[in-house]
Amino acid sequence: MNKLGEIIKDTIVSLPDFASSEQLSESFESYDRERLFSLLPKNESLFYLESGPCGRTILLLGEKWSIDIYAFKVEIKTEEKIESFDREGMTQVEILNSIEVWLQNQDDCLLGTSLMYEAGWDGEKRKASINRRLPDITIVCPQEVVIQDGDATVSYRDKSIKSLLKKNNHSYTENFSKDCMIKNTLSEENYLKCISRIKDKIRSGHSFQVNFSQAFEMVGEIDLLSWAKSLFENEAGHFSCLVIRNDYSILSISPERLVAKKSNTLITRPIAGTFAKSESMHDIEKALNEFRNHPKELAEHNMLIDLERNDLGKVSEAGSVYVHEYLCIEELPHLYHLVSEVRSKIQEGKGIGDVIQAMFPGGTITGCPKLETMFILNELEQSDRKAYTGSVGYIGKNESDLNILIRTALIEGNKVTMRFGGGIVWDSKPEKEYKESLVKARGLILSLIKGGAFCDFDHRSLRQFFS
Amino acid sequence: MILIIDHYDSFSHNLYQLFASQFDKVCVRRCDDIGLAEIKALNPKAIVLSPGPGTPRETGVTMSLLRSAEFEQKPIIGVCLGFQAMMECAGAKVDLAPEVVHGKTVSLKRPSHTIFSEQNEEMELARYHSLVVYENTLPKSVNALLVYNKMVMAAELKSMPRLGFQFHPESFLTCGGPLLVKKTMAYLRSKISV
Repeated sequence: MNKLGEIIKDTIVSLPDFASSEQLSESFESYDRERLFSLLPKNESLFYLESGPCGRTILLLGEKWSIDIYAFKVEIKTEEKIESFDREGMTQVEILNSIEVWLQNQDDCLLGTSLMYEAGWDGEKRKASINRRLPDITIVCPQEVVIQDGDATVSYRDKSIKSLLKKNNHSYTENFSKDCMIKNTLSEENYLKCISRIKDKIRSGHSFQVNFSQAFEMVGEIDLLSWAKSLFENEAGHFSCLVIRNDYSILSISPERLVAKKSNTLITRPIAGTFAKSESMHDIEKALNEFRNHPKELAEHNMLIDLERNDLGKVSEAGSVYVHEYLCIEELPHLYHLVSEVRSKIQEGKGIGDVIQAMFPGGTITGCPKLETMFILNELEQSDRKAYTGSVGYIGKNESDLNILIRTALIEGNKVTMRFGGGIVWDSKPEKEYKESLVKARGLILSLIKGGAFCDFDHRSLRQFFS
Repeated sequence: MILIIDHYDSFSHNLYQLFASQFDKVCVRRCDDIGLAEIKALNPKAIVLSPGPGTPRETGVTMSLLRSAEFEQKPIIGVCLGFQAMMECAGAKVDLAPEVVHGKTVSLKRPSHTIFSEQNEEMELARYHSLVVYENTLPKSVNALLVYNKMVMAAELKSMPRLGFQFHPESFLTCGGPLLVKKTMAYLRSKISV
């Protein structure tokens, strides 16, 4: 770290305390998302986070301070002032580790965290894409932390504010996306061409798997809170989230965890293998078992477990990495997933910055080997991924949890961008892969159509698929 | 210290974990981030060449390391691409494999060589490759230890402490990886003193 780096570190470490003066048990009788939503303030920065099956729901409200890490600068904003520093002084890892130092005296604080895909190039000599407008990483110290865990709800408040949670005057609507227009940006024909290019790369030994994606775009004024409420009621994944900030918002029904740190234990939960539900399927148990033992699905899944073992292995004690759960089936509204869990013990001296650097972007949404595959993706996908396959979650003193932003919408002004894709391997059937990317799109696109959005697809078959 | 040369692979740290759980100090360095002079100065007690994307020509410092007379008595273990580089440098040919296998296992009968002595009779080995070294391209200086359908799965250089695997001992799919690595290290060290 150079002299400028020391200054940035000092600035971060001496940011104002969260200083919780109240710990209140609220009167939410039980886990009730609808009730929580009815209390959300309007026009307030917030992180709404689900963390795992039977996990907690966390709501981080307001901004006491924020750190936005851009490709070339870092911006630190408090209630008093905004400071901007040149990034040359510090790596992403150093900034995140400094934030962890600040956290040491903040027992009740959880920091809202979001990462764009492009943050994954940090520290690499060669980079393929750069975020020009959006910050690579955002860290927000909230003014209020609400944790709902089963029947209990606890709320911590910064002493300088009154509760931000209040009876909301937002009138929720079912027509949240009326006058909006959705279109696809890649034709089926071109999707299939890209798959054939990917197979050339696999044949020549440059990749084993490439997680290719296509973009859908929507233009129009959307009622974000209403859309979020409707999505979470009908489609929620175990790691759903809603982030609202000044310059962008993220809405996700992610089913996947990137990494969690619980005291010294690191946990990652890769999803690899997607199986669409269909009404013609009679013996679901038998079909799922076949899926689990299918040579292609199995090989893909095994490869990703080795990749996750590798990434955890960078920051873990020697010999501590192990496969905790293997080939579980998880059910979602439109599909089933094959899921495993890998765990390890963090190496002494490694911070949350090192952990994120080691794991991000997730192997299940890039491919393997990761870096080479990221270059292939950049060449074939026509626009930057931004929020797609980025991450949202929280960082705390004793516990952090971050998801992978798939089944995700990035909202910038009146433009909504969503990407959907899947892992292409040597024995992939191109038409089936194209279809799989659409199956994953169903949750978000169908809900937008239900909310009143019009479709401007380039092919009739797409319209049929989403009808 | 054991030096792992990383060819930008996503399994290099599985190798790191495999070696670090058995040996004192293990260090991982990117193949284009270290030169021969520094490797010499570090004086590692063994060098491990990682897997990686592409062909032996895309391995940074590795080919010059393998060609340099200075490291002829240094134990070197190659895995997948690292193994292919070692073989190409010895005069063998790296070619397209008849099939692409990524994340699949093969079950092979244990060969008689000492490094396999503590493996199961039927060895379950993880494979990730689309390129391969065929047995009939091996020069006289190379001794094939394990061959599957004419593809070399393990081989050593006769006159140097160098040995490599086409399969992945660091994968969770390979049974007996730690023992194989331990035996290989001991075997290569015994070759230096001869």
